[in-house]
Amino acid sequence: MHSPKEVIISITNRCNSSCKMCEVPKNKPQDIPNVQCKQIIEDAFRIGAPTVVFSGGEPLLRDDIFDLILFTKKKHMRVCITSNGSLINEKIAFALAEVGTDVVNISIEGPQEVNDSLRGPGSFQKAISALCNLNKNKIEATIASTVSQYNFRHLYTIAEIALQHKVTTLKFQPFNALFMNDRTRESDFFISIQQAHALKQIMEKIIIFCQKTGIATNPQAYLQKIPLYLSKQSINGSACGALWASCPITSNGDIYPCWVIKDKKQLIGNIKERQLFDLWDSAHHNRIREKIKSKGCVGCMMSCYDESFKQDNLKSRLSFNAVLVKKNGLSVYFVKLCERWLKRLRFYLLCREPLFALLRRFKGYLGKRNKMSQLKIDKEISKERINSLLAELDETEKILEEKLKTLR
Amino acid sequence: MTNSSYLRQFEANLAYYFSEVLNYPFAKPCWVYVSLSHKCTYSCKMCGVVKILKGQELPQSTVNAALENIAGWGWDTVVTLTGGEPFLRRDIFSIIDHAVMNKVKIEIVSNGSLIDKALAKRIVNSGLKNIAISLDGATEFTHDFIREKGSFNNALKAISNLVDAKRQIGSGPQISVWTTIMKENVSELFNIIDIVKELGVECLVYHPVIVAQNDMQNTSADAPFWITGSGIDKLKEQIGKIVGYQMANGLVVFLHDPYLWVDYFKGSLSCDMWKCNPFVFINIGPDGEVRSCGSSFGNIAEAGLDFCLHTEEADKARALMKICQKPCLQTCWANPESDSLGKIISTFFSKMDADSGCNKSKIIKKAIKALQEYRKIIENYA
Repeated sequence: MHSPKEVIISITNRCNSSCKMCEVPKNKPQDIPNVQCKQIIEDAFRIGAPTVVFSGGEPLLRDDIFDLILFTKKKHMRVCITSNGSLINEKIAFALAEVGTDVVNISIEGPQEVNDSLRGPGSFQKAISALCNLNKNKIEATIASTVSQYNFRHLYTIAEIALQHKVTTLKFQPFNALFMNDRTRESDFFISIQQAHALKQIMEKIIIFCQKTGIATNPQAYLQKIPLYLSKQSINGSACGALWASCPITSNGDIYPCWVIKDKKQLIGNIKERQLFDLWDSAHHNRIREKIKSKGCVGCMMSCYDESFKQDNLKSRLSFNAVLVKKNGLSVYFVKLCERWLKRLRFYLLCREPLFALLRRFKGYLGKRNKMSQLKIDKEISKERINSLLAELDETEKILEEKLKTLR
Repeated sequence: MTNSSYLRQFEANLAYYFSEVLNYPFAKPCWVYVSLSHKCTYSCKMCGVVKILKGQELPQSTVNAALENIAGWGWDTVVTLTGGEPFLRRDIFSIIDHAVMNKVKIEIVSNGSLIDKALAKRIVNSGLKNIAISLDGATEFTHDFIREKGSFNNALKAISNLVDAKRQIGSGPQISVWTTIMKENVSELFNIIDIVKELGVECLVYHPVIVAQNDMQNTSADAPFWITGSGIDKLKEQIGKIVGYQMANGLVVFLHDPYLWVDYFKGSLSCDMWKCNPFVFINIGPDGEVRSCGSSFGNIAEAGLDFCLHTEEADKARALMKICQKPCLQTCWANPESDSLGKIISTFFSKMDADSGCNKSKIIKKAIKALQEYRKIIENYA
């Protein structure tokens, strides 16, 4: 059986923001009931998915989100939440940390004016304060951004925000009309060929910035293709691994081969009728995958698909490294390699909880799962709290003693 | 109220307060709901119990062990048997007997569908402290719409059977009615009083609906039974009438300020207005899972009830309850008197002032001693 890299559950399609590029919240409100969510999580564990992603709408609008996270953590899987950040105040961030949330992915589209024009007024400030609250509670924060006509000039600013707020991963994804009902507005989001040239330069800058700072981002080849895709040029999409690597479940319980292919013919099944465990890797599912693969896919450039570019990337990297070795000799190459790794390590030591996050990420890569025992509640009570409690006790005792005196 | 009872209440409130601030179960729950089975004679629209965990039933031996455990606490705990429909269990009376034998206060919540004259007599003789029948409307149409056809008449018959049996025998449990407040019955809330008074019911409790989905986990304004718009004004009007009646005649028992229902349905009820104390209540499910709210503490089939209250999972679930952003305003899991030391003292004094015949200075000395016990514990933390 193929194990997916992640199971993405759109637990609700309710959302508290109305973004220009997404019309999901305009549909009829729909939640996957708690019991079915738990069944999906149970099945995700059985099919060997290391990560469960709670997506939406805005997943934090669900009252039982912490219950679902706890349930997932009990199955020793990683939990990722994609959120707009608007609800992550100090208390929620604390609660997210308490239940063991691994990663929270916040959407930011650019500096304040740009972000607010796309995602609604006030959304930038809320997203930034969400990042701060996540940092305070030592939850790994990542940023995702949808690249379009409206924000492509400001992508470098997002990278700077990422560094400033100790974000570990910064992912870009070009606009896709997937989440829009009204396709007439679609063309507003694409860019001209001249603009694509400018975007290409910005992408190069971002790649260097991320390499320097140690922030993880999409594979280089993927980022380089975003300008081509957005200006509607051919991107020669490579075979998409997302069909095997991710498993999207919509808020009405439908399972499709991927987020983009969502016509009724390609429906794999609905979790209300059959369990995910039975549907994943079923003959019907495999038939659909083979059909898509043989017909070829136009290439959606969704970020779940960026893994497919890794191979290109690895090849180009190897040949690049081979050139370096030839040019400088093995010893100089080795020193430079160490320098690069040291930089990355220093980034973690300076910017994030020392080494712990690095180990956690590394463990995630190895497919080893967090254990419940790591999720201990902090039972220690601060000295200030103890002093204030003692003061409260003094006061209460005084009141009682005074009452006693009046009785005498 | 006798001297010792309000001193005991003072001590219990202190225990709830310090349990909460120090996150350690010094206090035992004062309410334990035991959901004996998910089987029910009805499938009510606002309740998802029948649909989840189908076929789960707590074995009698497990329930008995839990009852013995509760008896061992020596705490004023009330055990409420619920379901599904608890009278569907054949061993229900042996469970009640076991509780009575162990001197545990026991109550039952039922929909009344099975209570004929013979069963009513048995119930009245069983040693129960309270039996609550659910009545969700003042008219047959409303109640039957929410529950099932014929359920209104069944409930009324059950109540009158119980009242008759109690009259005949001369003593027995308190007979009460529980009403769930929702959109469908909001304009009939006050009229329910007339019905229950005529039947001879001794206590009427209202509680707001908590359902949005069939899993009973979510509460939201777009739920089918939620009161919105003009319904809110109707609710305010009904509350006014009910409060007026209650002040003159009693019968209705408020477990909190009824005007909080308005904030609850408006969505403006915050944790500053109503705070859950995670130590006051626990629920044992038909699968044996112990919960207060949210995730499970542990399973009483695998470890004893006491063990479940001390697990790491329990700490975690309680920590989440403490920061709950949406209080559900249920009658079971709050104890506003123990929210702060100030409130505890003022409740204590008001009850003491109302009582004239006690040795007040002796009681205050005991109260100071109880406070000093906690001082020692806190100093140990430091």
